[in-house]
Amino acid sequence: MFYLFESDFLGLIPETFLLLGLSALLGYGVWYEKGRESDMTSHQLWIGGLCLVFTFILLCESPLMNMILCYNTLIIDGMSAFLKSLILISTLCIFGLSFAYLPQERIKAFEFIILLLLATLSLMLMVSSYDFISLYLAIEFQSLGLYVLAALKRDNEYSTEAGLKYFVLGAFSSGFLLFGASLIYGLTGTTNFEDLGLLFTGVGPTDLFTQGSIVVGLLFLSVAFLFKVSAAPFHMWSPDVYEGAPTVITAFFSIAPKLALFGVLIRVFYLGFFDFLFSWQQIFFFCSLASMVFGSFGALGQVKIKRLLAFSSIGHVGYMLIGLATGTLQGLQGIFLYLLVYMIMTINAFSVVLSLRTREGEPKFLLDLKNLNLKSPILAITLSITLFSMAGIPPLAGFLSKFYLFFAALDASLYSLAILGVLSSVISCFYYISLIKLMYFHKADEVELKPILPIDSQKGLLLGLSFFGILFIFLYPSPFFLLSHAAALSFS
Amino acid sequence: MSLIHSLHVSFVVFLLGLVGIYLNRKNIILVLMSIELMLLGINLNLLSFSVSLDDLLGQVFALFILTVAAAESAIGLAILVIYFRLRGTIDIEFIRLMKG
Amino acid sequence: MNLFLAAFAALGISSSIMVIRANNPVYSVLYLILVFVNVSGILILQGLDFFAMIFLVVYVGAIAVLFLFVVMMLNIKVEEKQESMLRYLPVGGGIGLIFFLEVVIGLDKEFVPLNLLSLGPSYESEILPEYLHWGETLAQKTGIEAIGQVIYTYYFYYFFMASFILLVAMIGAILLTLHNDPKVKRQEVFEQNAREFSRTIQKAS
Repeated sequence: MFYLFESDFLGLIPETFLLLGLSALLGYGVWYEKGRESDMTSHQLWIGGLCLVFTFILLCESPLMNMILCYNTLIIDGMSAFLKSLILISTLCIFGLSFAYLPQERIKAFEFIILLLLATLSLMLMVSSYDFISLYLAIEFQSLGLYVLAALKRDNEYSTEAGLKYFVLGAFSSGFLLFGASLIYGLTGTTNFEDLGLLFTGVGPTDLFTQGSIVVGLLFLSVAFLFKVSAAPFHMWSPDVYEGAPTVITAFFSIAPKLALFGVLIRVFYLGFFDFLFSWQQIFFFCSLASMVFGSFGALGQVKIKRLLAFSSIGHVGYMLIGLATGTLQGLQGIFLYLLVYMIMTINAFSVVLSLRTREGEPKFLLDLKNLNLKSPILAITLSITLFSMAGIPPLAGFLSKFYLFFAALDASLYSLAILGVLSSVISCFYYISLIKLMYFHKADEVELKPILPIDSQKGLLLGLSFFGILFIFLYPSPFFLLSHAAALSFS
Repeated sequence: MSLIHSLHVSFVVFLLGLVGIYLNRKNIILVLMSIELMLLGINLNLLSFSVSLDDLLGQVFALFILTVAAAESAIGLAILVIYFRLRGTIDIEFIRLMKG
Repeated sequence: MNLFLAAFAALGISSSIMVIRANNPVYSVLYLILVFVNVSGILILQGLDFFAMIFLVVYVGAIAVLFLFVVMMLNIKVEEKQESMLRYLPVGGGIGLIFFLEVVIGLDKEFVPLNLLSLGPSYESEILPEYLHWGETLAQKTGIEAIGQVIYTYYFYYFFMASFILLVAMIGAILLTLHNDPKVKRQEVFEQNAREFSRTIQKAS
């Protein structure tokens, strides 16, 4: 019995290390907290960050490239390695952002770090999941940790309301996911993605009689995933939750679960249900259109920073869904490239938002950005370049990823998606430029400008690295192309 | 014969849970109870399928959904409790701090 | 058997309607318990004894009791107005009905039982489809034994994940609701034991 699953743990070495590391951190936090409350969070952040670095090294140096583990419940392949490394890097960046945030917001609970590490573990396991049961367990694992993190500031009404809304919508979408999975299980007898893919070979695109019942289950599944990834028309919860949650947690929400959920979406729909392409392609087509439109038009009327970032992330999800709707490997490569660039842009954007803290508190309204040029010209230029990149202006990273995705869409004959993508980029450009006007060209009133607090070194490093990435990926994109291509090839 | 009937029951229970979340105008704890109803419907669905397919996987799935439902209701109630401590009420009308 | 199934089903569905319609939230919780009990009854009819008992223990014994504690702790006012849900009932109920009919009609043809061949002795033939009878000629495992043979061996990964989920729930619930009130007097036993007598009393002049 011991030898039956020995190689499973070899494949799960990075996750096992992360688990042991966070258990050690949990023990350290619980037993040594007395007398050290003020330092405990920063201790945990440093050691937690080290834990993540080691996990990343273990992941990259792992000799096992393609493996199915734990009796067909988990899989390791190129895509999972790519997405797991992106998730680890993004969590490391979030830790970097929290060094200054936690003392400033007087969050003394070290469990913040433990829950973030647990959420990262769950995201890594989600990307590797190969079965509906392991998928659901990983999604719930992540969601439970994030519900708690969203509601972390217990004396802040916005935060508890955000936690409550996130909880209700998350549980609701998990219910849909389970209903779809149970229908698929009842109709086919299996929950494994590979078995489903094999079972559905040659079902045929036009045979609606055979297809009808599976499509019902597929509909529930896709609605559930679209809820979770906050694509329109199921995006209603995300501006509220992003606004209410603590800002580093909002940064985590915007990046890491989307990475893992896109991995899951690709695995479920490209591996399990590829023969039903013509059914789910329409669903993602429609949702991609709606997300791009809502993302750009919805952001026009916003007055708060975090809500604006939430709407812009809805727009980005719309672009990524274009890649998903194509059904080709090029689309997949486009998604991976876009995820990489999106991660860098979002980290930059949130670093800037977190750097704008004044003595009274952090910036809530867009008007707090005014005259940033006078307060700190470097931050202003960083934010403007990031916004241009999000809009897709040529020599920046955002343009590269959008360009690739639109080409993939054109290759798959999804002309309207590409055209609408370009149009919504133009519209989003409009409000980004209005932000830039606010920063640079606003009339400086005689009211004294509130000076922003100095930025700590970790945030400065993150700002610098991500800004560098945004500016210069376009000059040398081939390592990113190679990485995303290798990730996409696992589905050929 | 009885597969269809227990499926009907589980679909209706799931639907009523869904309706309970959407058409709820009273308080938030009804939302949490409706989530439990949804999960119960799904469990019954899976167990009926497992019996009819003679497969154990549905029962394994249902067992783990049960575990997760318990954990989730614990967290949901904890969030509800801190919300109540801060706001003093759990009526739906007051969840309007952030519009939308 | 059909009568029992019909009875449990009818009671279960009407109780779940009452969960969402009851004015008093305590009544809602009690109706929820009734739903759980009826679903356990349906499971016993299906032959899943372990799950029926586990539903009673976990759902009723843990989750419903937790709900009842929280409902009692929060000061929930009993609603007087009745008509607020009826405004939404046509649209919401219509959508729900369409949804239900779509799922049921779309799937009804899939579950036709194969009761054409009778391969073995007719034993609970209305509950189980006929093609299951060959399994009784082999050694029969109870429900709980069959599940135990699977979740601790082949599907141990699910077992681990369930334990992590419970860990997160525990950390989360304590983190959110633990209230270290400075006004509450506590005893620190280790400090008290570590006190040295020679240092505690000093002459003041």
